[in-house]
Amino acid sequence: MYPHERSLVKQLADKPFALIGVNSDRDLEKLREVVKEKNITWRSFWNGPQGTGGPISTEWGVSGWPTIYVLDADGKIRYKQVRGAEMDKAITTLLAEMGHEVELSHSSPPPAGTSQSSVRQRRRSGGGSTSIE
Amino acid sequence: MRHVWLMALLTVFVWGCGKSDHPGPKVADKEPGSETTIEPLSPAEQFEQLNIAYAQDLEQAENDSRSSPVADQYAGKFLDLASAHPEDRIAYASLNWVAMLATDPDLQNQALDRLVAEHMDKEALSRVSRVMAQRPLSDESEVQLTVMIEKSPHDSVRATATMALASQLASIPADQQDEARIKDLYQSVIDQYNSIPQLVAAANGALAKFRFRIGQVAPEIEGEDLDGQAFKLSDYRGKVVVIDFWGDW
Repeated sequence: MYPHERSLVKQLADKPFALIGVNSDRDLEKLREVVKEKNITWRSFWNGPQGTGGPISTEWGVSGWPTIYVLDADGKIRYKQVRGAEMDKAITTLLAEMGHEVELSHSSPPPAGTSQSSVRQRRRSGGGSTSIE
Repeated sequence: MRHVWLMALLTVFVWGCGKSDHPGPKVADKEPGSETTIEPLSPAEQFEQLNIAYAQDLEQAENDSRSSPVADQYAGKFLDLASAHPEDRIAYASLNWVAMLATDPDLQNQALDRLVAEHMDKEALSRVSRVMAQRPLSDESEVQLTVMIEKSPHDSVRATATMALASQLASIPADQQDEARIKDLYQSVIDQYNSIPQLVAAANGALAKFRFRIGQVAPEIEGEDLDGQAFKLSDYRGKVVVIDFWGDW
């Protein structure tokens, strides 16, 4: 995920585009180190010390991570759970609606649209247990 | 000797009459337990007998891997039992049996129509309406659930029936749904039944799905970034925004 997202942010720096994270890690100090280490260049809301049970993901009804929403310029939800090439297509389609024709290319090609089966599910409680759907 | 026998019989007779209304003298001649075959079965015993026969048949059907719905073959008998003893508690149990276990919608509806017509006082109807939530919408189910919502004296029945009607209405294709009506039903559970928190939570969850459907304007997020700086989602209005709920784990 990170390299693809970093590439998107870089290529679309001069376009009306933003990648906003909502992070559900509990330990903020550790997270800040991760952000530096892994060169996470985009801004994130912090979901708070309750982790995956925090207020933002709860209001949005998020029960699997990562979860993706793509909004248009009016703030309308236009796509959900798009990843890789599907996410690229969603973004270029919405930018084209605004008159910005963009071609995206990534040094390591993004995986094809990923199905639900690869989504990591995590309990709301934020416990360590993960399971494959 | 004969005299002693007669005395003994008479004693048994008198004692028997005092204890119960079984036909006295014959009891002494019978094997223990066999008198139940003379007595007409009580409604509860008939229910039990039907249920046992059903269970045996079900087991047999599973062994033979027959696929015919066994419950439907017994539904008529349970409906008859309910008709024969409308005042007995077995009437409710029999109708409930058919409403829950029959697979044929016609049989289900015969039982459900009578449950809502004759047993609206029963709190156990909440279990029936919980099961109905998983079934498809029909004209009949819409009426049955509406009657429960309007007439039941029990919060638990009205609340579960409201949830069931909402989820049935939400089970048809999205473009045919009466979204406003479904939302009103969920909202009424949230407003009226805070004594039943698990249903309120379920109604909130169902409403959230509507708020986050494609085409809806995403709600505001106000919070702090990882450095503690406050910002808002709406700061990015006018841009294409990817929101990524993520975690480094």
